[in-house]
Amino acid sequence: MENQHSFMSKSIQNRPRNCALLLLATLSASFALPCAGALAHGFGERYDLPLPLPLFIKTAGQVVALSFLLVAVFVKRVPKEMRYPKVPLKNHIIGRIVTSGPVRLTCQVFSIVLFLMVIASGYFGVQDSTQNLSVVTVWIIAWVGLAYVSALVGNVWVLINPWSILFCLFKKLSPNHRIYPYPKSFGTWPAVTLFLLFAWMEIAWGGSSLPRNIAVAITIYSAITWAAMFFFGRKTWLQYGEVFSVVFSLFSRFSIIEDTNSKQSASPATTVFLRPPIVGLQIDKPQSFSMVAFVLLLLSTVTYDGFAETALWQIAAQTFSEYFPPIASLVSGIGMILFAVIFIATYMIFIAAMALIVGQKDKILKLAGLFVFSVVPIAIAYHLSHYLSLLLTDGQLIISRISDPFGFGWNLFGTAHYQIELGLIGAATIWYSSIIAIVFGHIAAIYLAHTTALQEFEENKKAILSQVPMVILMIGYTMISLWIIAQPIVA
Amino acid sequence: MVSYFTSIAASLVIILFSAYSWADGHNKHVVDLVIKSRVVIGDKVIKVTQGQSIVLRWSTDEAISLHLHGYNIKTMATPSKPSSMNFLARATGRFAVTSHGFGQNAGHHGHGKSALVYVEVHPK
Repeated sequence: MENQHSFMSKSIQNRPRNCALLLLATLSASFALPCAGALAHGFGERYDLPLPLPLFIKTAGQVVALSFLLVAVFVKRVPKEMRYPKVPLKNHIIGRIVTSGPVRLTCQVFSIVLFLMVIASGYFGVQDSTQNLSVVTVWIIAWVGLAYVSALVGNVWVLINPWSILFCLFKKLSPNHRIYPYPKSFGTWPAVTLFLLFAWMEIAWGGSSLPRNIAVAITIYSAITWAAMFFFGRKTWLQYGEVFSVVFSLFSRFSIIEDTNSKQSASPATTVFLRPPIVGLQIDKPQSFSMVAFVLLLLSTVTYDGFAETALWQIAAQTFSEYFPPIASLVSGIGMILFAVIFIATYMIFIAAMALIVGQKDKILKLAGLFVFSVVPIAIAYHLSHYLSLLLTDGQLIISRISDPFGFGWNLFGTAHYQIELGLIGAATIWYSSIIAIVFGHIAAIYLAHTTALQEFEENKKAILSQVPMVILMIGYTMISLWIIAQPIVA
Repeated sequence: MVSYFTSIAASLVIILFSAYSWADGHNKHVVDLVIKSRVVIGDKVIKVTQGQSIVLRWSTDEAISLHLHGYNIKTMATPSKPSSMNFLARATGRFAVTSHGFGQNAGHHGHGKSALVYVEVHPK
């Protein structure tokens, strides 16, 4: 058995001394790739087996059957008010410890140290994705891992966001500078724009596994974030522009922890509650259209990340490259945008259908903003199932990199020679957890859409009818997720 | 005394039998792969079962450097000297075999456009 695991198909195995040459070569290679459709996630290679056909058919059947069953069940229940049990964490010793000052401070210090190490290793470390701390930390631990924690546990990003923490520290240098009012029309568009760029880096860009590129990207993003925080205020930017805050706070609405803390001064133990999952996504005020776009962009990009690895897309990308050779390298980016446009358009068409049914033709935008959070569980479910093996397999690289972040041959914690255990999670476990996530996400989506409808539309009959297009839309989104995980990965 | 020898003999039989069945269960699963004009002839997906001992035997009409992803096994094959990859299929998954160069470039780093074949290790 080989004892070394290099699982980066794009990684550069040697350690060339001439970093500049390497950077140039990688950049040119990434742009000159004949079929950029072959690129998938920012870093790492998934070895998932496709969901077997009988499992696929059974689950698809369950999804459809459950949809109708749920609608039938919900018909009888009319939850007019959003009420759910909340248990303050301060009631329990574990809750008090978790939310205590020293624990919070430790997490924040750890976050800042890791943040600085990622940048430093990106700039000065060995330019090989498997030798360097930055690539695995950003693409797998931070992006994939934090999404898991946000969706399942709670919004830890609020606590450990390095941009927010560092800004608070530096703010003391200039405590009374002028803060400009944030233009209302901007809405969440800054986050939408930045997320598009981030998703492009993750999915369509060939240079995403080069440590130095990551360090440069973080530097640029930090400059944007801090400048915007300086002009518009930290909290405003965290709400509308800091893309990871927007993503993780959205995902954490699904989770079991609620943080109602709006003032920094309040003790966290009094504002942090345990709650049932999903209920955080219930809203009674419509979201802005920029938020609608953001949610659907999130769903469409994570779905596209999986779709780009199917044979169907590979053939489409190949054909595209043959017909349009000058822009062949853009095919991944075009696919991603196309997916986003299709997802948003489909959503709006189904919302329009709903508006027609309930006789509110002039309120399409309002309804779109009201129902959009019900799509979030489907995005979360797909994210969880798509990245499970990546997180548990390729994510293991962090164990060795934490001891040797720069690839210089250090062994800080004695784990530098840890080898990735490929068989940590078996195919059957991945299949069943994916199915559970997808079916559960689907139920949650229908539940949310339904409760929103019952609150919004006075007549019960209208509310039920309004859900016909929503249920069809949810089945459609869920089926796409399911179909993709039943496809063999070709990348 | 008799029972002593009987038990020794019985244990021996049991050990031999289990060794035999172990060996039987670990018979090597040999797959022959032929590369012609940089393409593998025939099926592009090799399906095996977890726990099997696998031998991929490569013959080629041109020097080629091969890489089985995941298990991370690399080998060189030439027309005069076929090569093989031996491994115990302990981890499930779908693993690509890519070429790291043909002919004179064989052995140089970098990957071919797409996978030559996929090895699918299915759960038991």
